[in-house]
Amino acid sequence: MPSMANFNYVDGVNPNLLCCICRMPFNDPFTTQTCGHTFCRDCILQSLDHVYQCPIDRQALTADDLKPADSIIRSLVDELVVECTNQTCSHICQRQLLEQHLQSSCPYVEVPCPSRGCDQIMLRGEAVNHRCEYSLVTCDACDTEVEAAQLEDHRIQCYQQLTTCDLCGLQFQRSAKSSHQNSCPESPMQCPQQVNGCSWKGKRVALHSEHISSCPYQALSGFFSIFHERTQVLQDENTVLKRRVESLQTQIRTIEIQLQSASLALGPWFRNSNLGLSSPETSISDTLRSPDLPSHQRPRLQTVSSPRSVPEGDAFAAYFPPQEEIQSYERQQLSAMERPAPDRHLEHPVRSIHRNSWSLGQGWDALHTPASRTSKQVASAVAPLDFSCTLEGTLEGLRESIVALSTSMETLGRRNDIALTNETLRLNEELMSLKANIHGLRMQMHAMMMDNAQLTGRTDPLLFENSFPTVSTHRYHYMSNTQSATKL
Amino acid sequence: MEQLTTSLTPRPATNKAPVAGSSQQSSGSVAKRLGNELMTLMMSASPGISAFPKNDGNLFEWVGTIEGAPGTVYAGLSFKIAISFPPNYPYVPPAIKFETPCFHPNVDINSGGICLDILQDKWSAVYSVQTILLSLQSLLGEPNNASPLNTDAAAIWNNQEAFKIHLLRHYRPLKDESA
Repeated sequence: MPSMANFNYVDGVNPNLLCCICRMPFNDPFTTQTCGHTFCRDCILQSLDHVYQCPIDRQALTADDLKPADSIIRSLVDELVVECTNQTCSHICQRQLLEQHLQSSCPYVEVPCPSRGCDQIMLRGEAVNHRCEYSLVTCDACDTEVEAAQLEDHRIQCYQQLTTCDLCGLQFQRSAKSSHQNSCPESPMQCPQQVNGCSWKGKRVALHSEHISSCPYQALSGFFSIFHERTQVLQDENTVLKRRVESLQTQIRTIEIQLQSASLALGPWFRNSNLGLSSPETSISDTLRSPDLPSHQRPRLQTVSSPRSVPEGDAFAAYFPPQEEIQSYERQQLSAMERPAPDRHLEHPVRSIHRNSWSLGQGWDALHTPASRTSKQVASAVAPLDFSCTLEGTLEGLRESIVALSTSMETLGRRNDIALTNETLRLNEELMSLKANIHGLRMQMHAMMMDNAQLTGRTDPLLFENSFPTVSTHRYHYMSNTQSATKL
Repeated sequence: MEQLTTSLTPRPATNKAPVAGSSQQSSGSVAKRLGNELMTLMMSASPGISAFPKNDGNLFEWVGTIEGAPGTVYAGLSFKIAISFPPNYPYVPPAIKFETPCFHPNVDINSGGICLDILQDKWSAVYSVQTILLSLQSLLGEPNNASPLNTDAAAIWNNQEAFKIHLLRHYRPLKDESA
């Protein structure tokens, strides 16, 4: 303890426990018998080396006047909590326990190699794993501990010595110890049929002479081997099947997720396909939904079954977009399913749009039923609303029917135009012939007037005009019109 | 003068029995005690006295300051003190002298040496820098004219007016040196 003067105290210390000389808590305190002052033993002895006085009151003092301080003072300072004097060690303890810590447990204390003869110095924490040529190792033949460096020499000697088996009393060289252990007739053995349930235990010699011949399990050993083989095969098969089931389950799970996303996107369309179970179209949807069907087979099935529902194969094929589109659509839906929370809000307006288009389609269909009766061409162009189709297919069909409608409207307009032109031409011709007739009549009339004037002696046409006021206004009006028409 | 020089040189540690323990071991404990004293000085604000190590690396050379106590001729004057600790401190006293010229019966005006019993034979290991500086502060006001180092000062001590004139004639302001 006196060698370790530099303690680091964890807590503050009562000033009454401080030595006046070193200003630290008393370390091995001694009290003067003459004046009753207390100092560290080292401090007061060193002070007495300089002057034979008490440092506090200068009373005469010698080393003989010192006696160890009262035990209560010693206890007070010994129980102060200090840090370990090794900087790297974080251990704290009472001061009186620190010495023990350093001597026995502090891992940062330098100690010599625990093996005798090795003069290396190392930290205690490292010494546990230290191996040197002086480390003791156990000889496998004679079980004595020898230094690692001498093990080879020891073995050469050791192996040649004779040893006696504890069980059978046989003498042999130590090098043969391990081989003897496997053949000693006295060594305890268990029946080789132990795995099958035989509980016999006995000496090796008894095993072959007595037990094997009478062991009921040994008699069945042929059966056991076959049984084991079969079990093994079955287990292997079972593991393979388990794996397959697992992969199928994961497949089903992904398909279910896809289906859910698809149903979410489809909205009312999906429900309708469920309702129409009896209709021929459901076979398509059923095959579509069956999970064990590989995805690449779907489009083929759709095209195969398409002539059943609609006469025009091309029009129905339009309901099913190419496979790339389906897959990209599924991928979108999958990615949408992976983050479902924000997607829910997006889903509702989409669904409402679908509903709108659906009701619009219904209205459209109702509007055009008479048209389809009258004109067969238009009726075939309108897409039938079939809920077994995909939403995209139906939209595509609707778009196509709109296109067809616009085409037919265009042809109708053209036909109207042609009819109008024809009629106009015909009317023009008729008008021209009427004009010619009128002109002829006018000429005849004129000739008749001239004849009449010659008969009455009046040559002035103006007089002639005035002489027929009642009739001429009407005629004149008519003639002037015709004239203006001919002039034009 | 001879008495002064002998008093200034620290007494050899081996004048009695050799000190127990190696010097290396003791220097660690001395540094620890000096650090402890420095802490105490800084924590307790004693009026008119202060001391610090000259530079950070060396705890054994300190510079202290004493202000003259009010009511004495030294009132308002500051004196710089050099303190040098021996390796076997606190069993032997530190070497102390005035850096600022001090006209005082017990102080050598040229070398700054001090004639004070506690710095010599009356030294005790329980004394500290704080007690030394306080003793010096009181020594300024109450000189021991019985054993003067500066006989001129001792002679005119009773005439305080003349003493002050002499004092101020020798006094150099602290600033130049402490800068």
